[in-house]
Amino acid sequence: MAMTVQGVTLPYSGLFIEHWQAPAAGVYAVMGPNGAGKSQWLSLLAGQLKVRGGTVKRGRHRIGLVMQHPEHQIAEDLVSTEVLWPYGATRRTAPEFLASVAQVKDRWALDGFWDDSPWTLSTGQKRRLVFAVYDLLNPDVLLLDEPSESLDGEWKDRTRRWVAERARDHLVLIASHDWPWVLSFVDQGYWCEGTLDNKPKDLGELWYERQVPPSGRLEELWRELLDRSAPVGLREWIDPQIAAGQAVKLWHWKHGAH
Amino acid sequence: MALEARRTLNALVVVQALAIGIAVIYMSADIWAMGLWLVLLVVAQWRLRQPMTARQGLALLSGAALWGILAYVNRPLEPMRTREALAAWTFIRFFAVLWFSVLILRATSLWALVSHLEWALKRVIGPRAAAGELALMALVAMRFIPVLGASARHLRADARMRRQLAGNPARWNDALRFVMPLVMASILRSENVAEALWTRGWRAGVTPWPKPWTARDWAATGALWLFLIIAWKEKI
Repeated sequence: MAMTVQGVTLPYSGLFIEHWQAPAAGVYAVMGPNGAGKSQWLSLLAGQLKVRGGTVKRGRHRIGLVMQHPEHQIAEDLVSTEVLWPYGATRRTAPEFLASVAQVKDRWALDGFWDDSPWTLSTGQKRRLVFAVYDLLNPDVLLLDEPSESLDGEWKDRTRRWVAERARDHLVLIASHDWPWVLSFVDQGYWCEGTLDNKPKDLGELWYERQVPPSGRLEELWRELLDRSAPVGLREWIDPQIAAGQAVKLWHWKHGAH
Repeated sequence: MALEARRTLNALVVVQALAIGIAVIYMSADIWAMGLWLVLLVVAQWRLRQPMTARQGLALLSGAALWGILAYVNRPLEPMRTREALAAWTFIRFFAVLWFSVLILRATSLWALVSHLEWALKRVIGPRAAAGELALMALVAMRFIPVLGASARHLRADARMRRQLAGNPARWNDALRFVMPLVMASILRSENVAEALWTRGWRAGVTPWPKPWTARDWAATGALWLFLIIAWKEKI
């Protein structure tokens, strides 16, 4: 049974969800201004937020939520214990489980601090640890709240590849303000402001329609080009190299040089 | 009008109103007087436009009921009717006192209350660090406790989610899993709070600069004490 939310108004943010049905699989962004209710919506889907009125059906989906602040998901004194505590002793010795643990350790580069306290880690490392925990738990629906926050360039890239791989046969929802990061690999998204769209839209179009204040000069320039109907793509500004190439093509096009 | 007046009064007037109100309500021994206080509380609640939630109502009722039960249990030698009447009166009084206190505290900034009390204390005993430290403890507790409560809820929800995802039944000690991270997070947060306070110029031995005492505050204080004297003399 598909996960659905109907006639729900979230407390504080006042976000109204008339009808929302979860797509079967894939990665979708949840974008919107601060305080619009994105994190609350993810908490609602994860069953952590109770609301009066409306219906929320989660079916038999196994849902995992990576929260915005990793400190809210760290409870042990060792990184290894943090990853392994939910599992029973029998399972922990099963060869296939040990293989999964090794894979997760390798993916999130936990070897270097496997026997350290999670409280000594940087925020980015703590976030990687929580990703590792949910990577091993392997939920059907993974909800990520501001996942790129405090990650360096390399780990943003690795996280993007991990999410894209998961999204082939799982559903991943990402609440974020990091437009360049989500635009680099997410095709569709929901806009969250007052109400929640019931169907996802093209994320590039969503970025352009919503006219968010530009984060930099390149984004501003791209918006201007799009406003003037220049033959440029909606997402090319996120990569300065592609944008530069496009600018050269544009120059040739303008001056008739081929 | 009443709301505007409430905003302009000095927090020390509010402290006096709280103390005098509690004393008068608790001294009331007539049914009509208690009825009058309850009607006034309903009016005040309506004027504040802050409806009481079911949880708050339940907390008021259960707190007052606890005192009523204690009054009944602590007088085993009295006749049954006296004990019942005493329990009922204690329940009503505590209910009114708690309700009044909640209303006053909701209508005032707790931060303003504590900093004005710190100012008053330092005026009496001098700018001693102990007074500032006491105020700091109260302020930090007020800021910390709701944040810690929210953290605890997140941690418990996460523990429950992980157990379900791992296919294992929840254990009794999962509910306590939030204790250690809460201590660690508190230590980390307290550093930030201390730094923020210091950079804003807070020092334990320096007298804060609260809102000045105005003619309106003198009038309100006079009216409050007059009300207390009348209530006491007339045995309302």
